[in-house]
Amino acid sequence: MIKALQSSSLAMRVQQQRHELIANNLANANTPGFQKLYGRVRAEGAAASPGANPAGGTSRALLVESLPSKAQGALASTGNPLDAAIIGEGYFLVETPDGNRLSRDGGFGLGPEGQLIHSSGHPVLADGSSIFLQNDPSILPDGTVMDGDRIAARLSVVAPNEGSRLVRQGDNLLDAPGGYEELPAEDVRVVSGHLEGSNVEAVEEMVAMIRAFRAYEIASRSAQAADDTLRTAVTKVGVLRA
Amino acid sequence: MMRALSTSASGMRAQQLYVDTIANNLANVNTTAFKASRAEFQDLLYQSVSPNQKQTAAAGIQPIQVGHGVRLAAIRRTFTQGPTQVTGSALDLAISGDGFFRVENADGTYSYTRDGNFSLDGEGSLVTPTGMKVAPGFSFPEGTGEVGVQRDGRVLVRAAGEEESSELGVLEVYRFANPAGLRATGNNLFEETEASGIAQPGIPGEEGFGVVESGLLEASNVSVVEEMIRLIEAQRAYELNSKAIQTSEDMLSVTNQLKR
Repeated sequence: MIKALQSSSLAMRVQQQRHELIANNLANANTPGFQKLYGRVRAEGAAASPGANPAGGTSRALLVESLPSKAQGALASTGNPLDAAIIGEGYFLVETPDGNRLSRDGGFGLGPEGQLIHSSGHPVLADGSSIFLQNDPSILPDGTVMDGDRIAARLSVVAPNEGSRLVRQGDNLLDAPGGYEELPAEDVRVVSGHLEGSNVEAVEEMVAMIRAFRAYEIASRSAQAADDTLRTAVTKVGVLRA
Repeated sequence: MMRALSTSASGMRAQQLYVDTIANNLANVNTTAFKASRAEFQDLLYQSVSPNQKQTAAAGIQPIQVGHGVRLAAIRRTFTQGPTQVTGSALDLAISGDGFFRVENADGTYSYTRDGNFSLDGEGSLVTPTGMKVAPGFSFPEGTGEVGVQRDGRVLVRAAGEEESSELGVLEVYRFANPAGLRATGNNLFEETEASGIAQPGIPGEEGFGVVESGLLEASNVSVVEEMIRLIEAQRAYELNSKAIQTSEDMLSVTNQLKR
């Protein structure tokens, strides 16, 4: 019976975490290049550790994984020649004091000396180094940055290595602890003058929020039922009637 | 649970700032040479939470990363050319292309503007509507009949009754490495900052500099349709975040009812 209380509380915690993920997705509904995170619930038990307690489901632990959605966000025209959106796979590369970071946010600007910078204020890498621009800069479809009529460099567009996950850092930056490699020019499509919107879909998030909330409620009912049974056991069982 | 509440609150605050910038753009839809600005957002820090580190590692899955919401990264101004309007007044000037006029502040420092709605004051100086002198200072002689500003910035005057016009000077324009870094100070004026770089003077029409068009004014570059779409976007996102707050609250109330 105590186990039923435990698994109910675990289920409530899991739904709460899912709700927190949804709240963060909705908060970033207008963040450029934001990729929504969805929680996937995994029941760990008999399957994960074979041979252990095959009969009872009570020792199962629920775990949530947060997985990013790679769906393309909608492109919005901004008219700013230094705004760039990647169509399809790939991330821009940003140099930070803690190492290189990946980002889908292509809202670039120029720093004091004409250095191309990311919205976090760190330099954007092109051909592996930061670049400085002077006259009427623009960005071509393969990611080549033009400084007037002069070719400055090609934006580094990278993809994380197979099987490696991205760790979110905030400021629209992602860390790739498993490493990344640069995509060849023919696989890169960059649209300038546009920003990629967040890929958060309002309907999906609302439905997910309802589901998480109802599952939370159900788990709370199951905790109450366990409580009722316990009370019966404590107050009714073994009562002697004259 | 409290985390979801503050996450959604940050979302509502961000959308409110978004509406603020849109409202300012719409308010300036008829302001001469106004440049629209746009709010840009970034996600906040993430926290890795996991019910049990050992289990997570054993099951081969990553701990979950829960975000803390959103914040305003920057409000960026777009310096695209606005449409020009014919006014017919010779001292209404529009820059077609890159560049700013320089005007003198009361304290001797300079501000920059693309609003070329100039006129002559009582002393024959070229001034803005608020009475600031346009640099370099011109003194128009008394009895000036006709005034003209050429595309290359040459200011020509012809005294009443004269045939030939004479050149009074050249109206210089200034450009910046990064105009988006300029600081707006109101009254259609901008100030140089570290981010914008130092003003580089030039003759209108030289490479990289726009030409001066007389008898025209540059209109605001705000696109009403785009602003309206963004307004819808912002308002709906605001609503969504408020729904997430309500749900958080409902969950808290369920938790409260657990113990009877």
